[in-house]
Amino acid sequence: MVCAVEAVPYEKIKVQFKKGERISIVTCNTCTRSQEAGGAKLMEEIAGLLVNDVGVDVVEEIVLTTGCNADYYDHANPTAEVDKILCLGCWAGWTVIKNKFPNIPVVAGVRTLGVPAQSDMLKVVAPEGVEL
Amino acid sequence: MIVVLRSMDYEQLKEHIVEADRIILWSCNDCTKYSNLGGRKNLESLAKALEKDGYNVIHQELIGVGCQPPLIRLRSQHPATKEIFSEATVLIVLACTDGFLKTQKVFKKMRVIQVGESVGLGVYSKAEGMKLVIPLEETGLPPSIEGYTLEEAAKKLGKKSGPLV
Repeated sequence: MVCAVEAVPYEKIKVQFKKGERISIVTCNTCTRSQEAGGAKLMEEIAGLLVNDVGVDVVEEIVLTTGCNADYYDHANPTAEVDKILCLGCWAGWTVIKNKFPNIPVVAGVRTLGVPAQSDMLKVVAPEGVEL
Repeated sequence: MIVVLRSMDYEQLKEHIVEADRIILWSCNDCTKYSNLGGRKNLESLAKALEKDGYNVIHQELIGVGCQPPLIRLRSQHPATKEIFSEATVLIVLACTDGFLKTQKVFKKMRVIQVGESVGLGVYSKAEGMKLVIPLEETGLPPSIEGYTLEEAAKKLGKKSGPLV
């Protein structure tokens, strides 16, 4: 279940957005929350900062039990009426959003480090567009 | 979720055990189930096949998440299962690489057989099943937003997918 992740620094996330943009934020409540890179509380904090610092319009916030289950995202009935989506899930969760909305830019607010194997870390390949 | 494939088939598994072994089948009920290698149904099918072939399966253990050492240790020490784990000689593990290694570390006194292998991160949906989207670097596969089915991934990586039997 648990992939290893780290939060992308807020300063790097902030510069991906512009004043007046309508955005949606999606977070995973499993791996990323347990590693303090996602979850409802962090999502609220980042949403507040983006509104105050950048002036975005946060039109939707979604917490998924697991961001890598596409059915959960579908069930949340996410809006397509946004300029950008901020993903606070791992890169697998990022592909779920990108697959559903290929024409909407999806900002990856979490960096996926790999898959644990006891004391080792098996590195994963980054999809194009996730490294900020 | 971790995508779990396997390197062995049922006949190869049998090369690791003998009829005198007291076997416990162990499965993760999360990623490995979604990868259609583990889970209750696949555990039961494997137990039936081994028993039919003359092997002594003394117990089946399904663990909610197979990569969490506290949960694994709890099973090894719980009054309901402690004795049966002490009697076993072989543990056949249906889990990801991490789950296998952590299980092996807890059950040091018995032979622990690895069936599953992590190949990357996947996305699950009821309609399409598990798909590999973020492969491990060591696989040499590029990421795919649409994802590789388990069969496609196994074919590309020279591995096998799905249940042992």
